[in-house]
Amino acid sequence: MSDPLPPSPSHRSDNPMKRSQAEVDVVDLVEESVAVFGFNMRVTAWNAEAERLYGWKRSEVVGGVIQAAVRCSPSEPLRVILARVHETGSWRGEFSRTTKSGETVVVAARWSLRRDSAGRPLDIVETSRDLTEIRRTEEALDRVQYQYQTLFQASAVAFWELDIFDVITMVGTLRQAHRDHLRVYLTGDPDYVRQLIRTTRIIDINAQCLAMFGNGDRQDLLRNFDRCWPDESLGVFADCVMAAFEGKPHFSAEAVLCSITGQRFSTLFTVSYPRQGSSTTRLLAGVVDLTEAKRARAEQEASERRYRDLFHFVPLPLMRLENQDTNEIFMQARAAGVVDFAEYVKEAGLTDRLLDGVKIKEVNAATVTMFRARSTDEFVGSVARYWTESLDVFRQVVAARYAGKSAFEALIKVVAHDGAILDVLFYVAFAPITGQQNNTLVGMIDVTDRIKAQEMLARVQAEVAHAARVSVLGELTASIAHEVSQPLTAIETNTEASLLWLAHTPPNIDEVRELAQRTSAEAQRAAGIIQRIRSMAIRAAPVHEIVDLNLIIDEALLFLRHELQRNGVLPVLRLSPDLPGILGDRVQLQQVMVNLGLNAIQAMAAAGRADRVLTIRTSVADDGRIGVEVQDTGPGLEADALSQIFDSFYTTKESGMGIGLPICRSIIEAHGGALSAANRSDRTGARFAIMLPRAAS
Amino acid sequence: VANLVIAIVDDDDAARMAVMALMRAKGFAVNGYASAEDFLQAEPNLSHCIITDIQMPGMTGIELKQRLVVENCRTPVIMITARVEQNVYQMALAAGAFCLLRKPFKANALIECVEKALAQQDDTRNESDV
Repeated sequence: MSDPLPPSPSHRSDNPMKRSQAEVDVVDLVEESVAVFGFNMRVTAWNAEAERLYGWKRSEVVGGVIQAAVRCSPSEPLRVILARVHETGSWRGEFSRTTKSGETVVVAARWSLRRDSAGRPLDIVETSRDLTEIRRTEEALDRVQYQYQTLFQASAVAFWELDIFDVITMVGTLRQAHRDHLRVYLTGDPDYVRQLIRTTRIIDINAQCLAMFGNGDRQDLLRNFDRCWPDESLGVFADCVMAAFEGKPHFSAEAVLCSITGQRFSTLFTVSYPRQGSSTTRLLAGVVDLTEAKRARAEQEASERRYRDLFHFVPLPLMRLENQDTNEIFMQARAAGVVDFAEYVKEAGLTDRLLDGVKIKEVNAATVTMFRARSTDEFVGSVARYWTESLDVFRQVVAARYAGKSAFEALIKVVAHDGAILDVLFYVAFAPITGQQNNTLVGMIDVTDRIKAQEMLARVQAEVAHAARVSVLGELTASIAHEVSQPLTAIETNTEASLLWLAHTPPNIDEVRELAQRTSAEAQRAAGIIQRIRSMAIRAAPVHEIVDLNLIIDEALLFLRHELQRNGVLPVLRLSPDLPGILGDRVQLQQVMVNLGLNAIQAMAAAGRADRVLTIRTSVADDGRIGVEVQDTGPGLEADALSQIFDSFYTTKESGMGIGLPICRSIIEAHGGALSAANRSDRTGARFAIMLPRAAS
Repeated sequence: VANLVIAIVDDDDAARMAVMALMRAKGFAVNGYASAEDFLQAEPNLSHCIITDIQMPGMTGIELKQRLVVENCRTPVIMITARVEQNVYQMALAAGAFCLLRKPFKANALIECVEKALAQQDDTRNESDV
């Protein structure tokens, strides 16, 4: 700035062009813009920086009034500035000026008064510097600082601003001695690390830090940085110091820290170091409380682990499925207004597409066992191979999901991997339909053995029922013999009479014809009896058909007719005329009626009472079930007997197998009904009551 | 034999009509009754022989015979039954049945029985005539 300044206009008149040129060359090297003007404000010099800053060329400005080129908005009136310059020799201030292109620039200007050798004021030299960029930078800096302050104070992260100058000094000395083994040394000497912590100066803390580590007293926390570091975390601090020496920009580690009141938390401890080469030893340490996050993560992990354990180790076969095409097909069906989805799938031929879209994602060990597979790998792919035996049920499953049901259950047949057909109770829980991924959990129970056992039980029951029928037939031998001997006698007698008529002269053909007709009728009657007995004696699997209980009771009475007569028992039927049909096995139900009737007859005969009435009543109960009552006028049942008569081999009779009533009860229960025994309320006999469900119409 | 009357008591229509046909074919006059009560009401003393079933609703064949004994009617009574119990035979004979036939029986056995009963009755009559 001590370079010669341009001469006054009066000097310049000697050789203005030449001098001015030489002087300007020097002034052009100055970083500031330089302008020289007289008290009339006419410009006499204009350097290169002024050209760059204001956009006006020297030739355009020199000789003109400076305001004409760069309109000035000085912070003070121009005459005040000029007065100051005259009085003190200089002025500093800011101008807002307009460049040639019309932009506004703010400049810091200094006006200096030049005097000639006689000390008279000559002209004014203005040096100015563009403040626009600086202003912008300052504003940005302010903004950053504000943001930093806001972040620092309002952040949910606890911040310590630390000065580790003393720490670096301490460790620096140590480093000289231990070189590469510094880390080992620090790790091996926790007391030293503790000392480093105590040496660390705390510059500032934020509100979150105070809340997290403090006891409410800010100064207390500032003085007790080391109390926040439990022994177990000293290694982290040592690493943090090492990172500073290694010139790393950041350091981050999980550490257990504690508040000065002793509360411990899992934290993420992060440090930003000053840039390399920076002389500052201040650094910012942020602490995030991980306790909550850790607990949430641990809980989620535990929950996932529980699910995994449950899925894999539960002895129930489970499959996790993912549905791919289902949503699209659902949307199309909804758009088409489909209500019966199962039917729609069948008609539109969508079954295969739906099946292929359901992929098995996961199976558990129980599933592998149930399907007789060797490993879970065998289950990769679609579920199609498992539905070959129960396609209708598959359509029902999808229809249930379409209808918005949350679950579906059915008994299905599936093919195991060794080709065996399994009876499986299939249960599916649908996840809510969300997005593209539809998870479905399927549970299965292999009921093959159970169903086999049930079938076996049904067979055994049928066999026992048959044995019981045969036994009853045995008890009815006299009745049967009586029944059959009637037509047989008639046939024999008619035949002999016919022969006698034929022997007459002339033979009486009319008598013979009538006798032959009656003989034929009797043969029919005998055949009917044998048919009845045969149906009772035949061993057949139960057949379920719609049967009329009134008719069954009528038929049963045919078996009992002779027993009734022989024992002098009067049968009274009170049959409901409009009895609905029931679904059942005719022979078995007939067997029950014969058994109950026979029991009643025998009980009344054994008691020796004169008044013997067997009443059979049918009715429809309020709940729609069908009731049958068999009442007698016998001695009734003893209290002991009431609780035991349905037990196998319990009998009050001297002869008899005692399997009648248990068989009756199991037959009725197999028909979905109930058989109970009681005494008549007036204590004049026993009453057996059957309730059976009516057949679905 | 046309003037000999046989009464037949059986609740089973087919059996009763068969026996009636057989007796008519042998030349007897016949009267059929569906119960012992009907028979008693109609003609306890008009028949030369009575054929009755034992097992009937109401009065049984044995009770009928006992009743006839009480009333001093000596007409022979042939009993038939489908029952198989041993004691029926004892009861029938004790009551004074002329003979007992178990169903199913041979028609000739019944004819023989009837002829014997009628012959005995002739003897009895002859004796009483003496």
